[in-house]
Amino acid sequence: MIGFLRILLSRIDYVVTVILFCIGFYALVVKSNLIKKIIGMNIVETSVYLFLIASADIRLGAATKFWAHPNEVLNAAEAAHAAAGELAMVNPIPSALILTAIVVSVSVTAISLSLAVKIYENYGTLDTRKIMRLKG
Amino acid sequence: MRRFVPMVFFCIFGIIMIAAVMTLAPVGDPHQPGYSEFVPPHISKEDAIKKGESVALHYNRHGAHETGALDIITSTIFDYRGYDTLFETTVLFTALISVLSILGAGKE
Repeated sequence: MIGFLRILLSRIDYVVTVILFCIGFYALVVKSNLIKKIIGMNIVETSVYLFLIASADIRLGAATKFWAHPNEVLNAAEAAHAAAGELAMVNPIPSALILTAIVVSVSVTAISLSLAVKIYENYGTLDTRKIMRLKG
Repeated sequence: MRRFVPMVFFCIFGIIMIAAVMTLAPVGDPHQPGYSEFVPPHISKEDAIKKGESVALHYNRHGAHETGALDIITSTIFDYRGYDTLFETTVLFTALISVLSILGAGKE
């Protein structure tokens, strides 16, 4: 049991992303309001960003920069690595990929919100169950 | 009932996903496969040395003098993965055209 809890705590970021994913997916499936469905979709996307950023983290790693202002104060981890001669830096690739993912998610959100606007203009409601019952 | 069944389904779904997440490397592990010089067991030591370091370590070590950027993420986005960033603008443009045509439909 203690061993399981230790494994769980060392991967607690991933567990939180799974919980966020389930909350967002639940809202996407159960809620009948279209705006709430779009909010659930955004929660799912945010959980994916959090998963990738957590996988990019390196313990005691510095920020990904080559240049520091002379007056800038290094934090304790950066100072320790600089004293050891090597500056361990976090993984830069997931940050770059998430920039792409954010652009895609903004586009998808914009298109779904504009579709919701048109549905409200034509049917006068955003409730999917009422929309299903309408004819023509 | 309408809320209860999906809630049970997503609890089971979440437990399966947490069980999958447990098999990953711990958060912040410097020896995780995506970051370190990880050598899979079927590759010999000589081949691993010939192949060199992982992509992330290459960006961190040689990004400064290969691209001249001051920040590694800047060098990754605009130099190493420039085509990705270039075609991101295509995605944004398509989304803009879609939104304008959806909102403008049936106005005439």
